Amino acid sequence: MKRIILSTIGLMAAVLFIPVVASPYVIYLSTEVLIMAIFAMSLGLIMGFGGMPSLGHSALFGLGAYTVVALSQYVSNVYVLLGAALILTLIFSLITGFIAMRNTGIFFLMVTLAFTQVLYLISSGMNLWGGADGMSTMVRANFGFGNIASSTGLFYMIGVFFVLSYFLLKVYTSSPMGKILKGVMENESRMTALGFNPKIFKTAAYTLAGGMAGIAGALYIYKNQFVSPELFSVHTAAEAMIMVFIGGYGTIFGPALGAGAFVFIENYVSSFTDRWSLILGLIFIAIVMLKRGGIIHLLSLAWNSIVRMRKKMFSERKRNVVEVKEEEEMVNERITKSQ
Amino acid sequence: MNALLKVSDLNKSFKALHVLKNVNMEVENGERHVIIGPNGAGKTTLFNCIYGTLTPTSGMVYFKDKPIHDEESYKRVKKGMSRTFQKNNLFEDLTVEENVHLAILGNKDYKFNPLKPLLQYKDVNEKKVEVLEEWGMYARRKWLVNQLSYGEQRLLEIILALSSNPTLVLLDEPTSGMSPSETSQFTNFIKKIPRDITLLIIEHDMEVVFSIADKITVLHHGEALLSGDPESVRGEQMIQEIYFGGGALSK
Ligand SMILES: Nc1ncnc2c1ncn2[C@@H]1O[C@H](COP(=O)(O)OP(=O)(O)OP(=O)(O)O)[C@@H](O)[C@H]1O
Ligand SMILES: [Mg+2]
Repeated sequence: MKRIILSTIGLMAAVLFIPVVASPYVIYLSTEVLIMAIFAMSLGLIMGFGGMPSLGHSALFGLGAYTVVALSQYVSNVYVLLGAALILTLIFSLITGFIAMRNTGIFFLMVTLAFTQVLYLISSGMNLWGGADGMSTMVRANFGFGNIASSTGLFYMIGVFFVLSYFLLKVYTSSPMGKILKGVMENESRMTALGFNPKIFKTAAYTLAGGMAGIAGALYIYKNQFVSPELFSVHTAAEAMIMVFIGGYGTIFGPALGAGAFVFIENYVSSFTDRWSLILGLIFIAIVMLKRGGIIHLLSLAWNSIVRMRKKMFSERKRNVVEVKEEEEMVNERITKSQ
Repeated sequence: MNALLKVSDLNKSFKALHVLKNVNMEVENGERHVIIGPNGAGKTTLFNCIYGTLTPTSGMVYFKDKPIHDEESYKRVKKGMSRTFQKNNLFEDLTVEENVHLAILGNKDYKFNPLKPLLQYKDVNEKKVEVLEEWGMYARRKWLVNQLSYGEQRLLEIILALSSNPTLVLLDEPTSGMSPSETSQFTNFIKKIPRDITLLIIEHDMEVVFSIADKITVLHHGEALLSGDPESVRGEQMIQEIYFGGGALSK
């Protein structure tokens, strides 16, 4: 728990720090990064800890967004809007999760894809909420201390949700529920024999991730003020999956890094060349070919080698039996748990 | 009290293949009950039916006097059952202690808690240390399962089964693949398991069988041919011919 709290504080500091040094454009992009990070982290939970590759995750993002747009015609209270988005997406993901959970692997993927397609067709076919053209709205968040209108204010507001999501996911994955989820991913039939009903743990994680994706979608409206069926598309779902992979499959923070890389590559590389998606694609392929890992893995490799180098310099000066032993133990530990 | 486990008229077919034929069997409280029989006799299938891994085609299974034959297997852990698998069935990419954590959690009500880190549960830590030390695996706690030797993995199977505070443990050929020294270590461990835990064991190694069994049931072509104490089974003419003469029990 100590480590979780410490890393959360570190993250909070980083979020607080960005607007101090960044240009308005970078702040604007970073806001988008935070939204996509919440979205990608939630997908990272069910993919990397639950073994559930979902193409239905954009359904929840879109549902959260549409909920805010639709309700904002009648109410403007941010608590009501976000609360409604959360509740609706929780219910939707609970029900669809329950149905999808009968399947695994590619069939799971197809079922979740089907849900997304249904929402896509409904949202583009109906005249409500702009149909295929989408619809814009004017929402401003007011949590009780004035309208959040500036881009820095918006960044901080979404930053709070981002840090909260990170903390929640960290706690969840270290709790019994989370450890069991991981066990189910590793060996479902064995978990049944050990006394667990796998469906419960998978559905719970799927629902939690769904609610989080819903919140991300709702926050997206506070930034973009516009919703369209595009949010429901396979494209959105696939993008989130790419973020998970390039950031670091099987970790909580990796997908957030992936979201950062994705958004920045998309925006900066596209100013040099139209082929930005090609570059992203190449990175993606490289990471998939190299198996797992992702950005977070590269960072930890770099970190480990720095630690090792310092250790070497230190131990050359003063090397005794005890240290050698310690080092051996550390190496062993590193081998056994590469995290 | 009646038998802890009672199997009555149990049948199991896979399509046309009739694997278990009217099997009747009782396991008393505290007993070390060993099932022997040649390859393909249906021993593992019997375990699967007792544990709920498979649903019997017909017949009943009573545990603590209650019928459980149509219950999901995960519910049986709470009632006090646990099992090992003939082929190692572990969490290969997790460490030894993470495997044990999961096994302990299987019978805890707080398995549904999403907010408290697992490592903060004192009883989980205590139980983990207890079982790992008891079986001489504490030094291996941080190892990944796939770094263990095959024999150690066999031991871990048993450790997992004993981690959920069971009253009845089903061990499916625990010594298969163990070295002779590991096997004798295993036999010693088994003898130390307290009698409030009942053991039902499938075993091929006759030396192990006769050193631990209170009672032996012989399964042959899906039929429980006979059940009795080790001496009477050893003395039985028919058994002598089928098993000890032909060497059918060796793999
Ligand atoms: N799921 C299944 N589907 C079809 N046939 C099966 C299945 N499980 C077992 N069998 C068949 O049932 C018969 C009994 O198998 P079982 O595994 O119970 O034997 P066993 O006594 O445990 O043998 P061994 O000593 O080799 O472990 C075998 O002929 C096997 O092929
Ligand atoms: Mg068998």
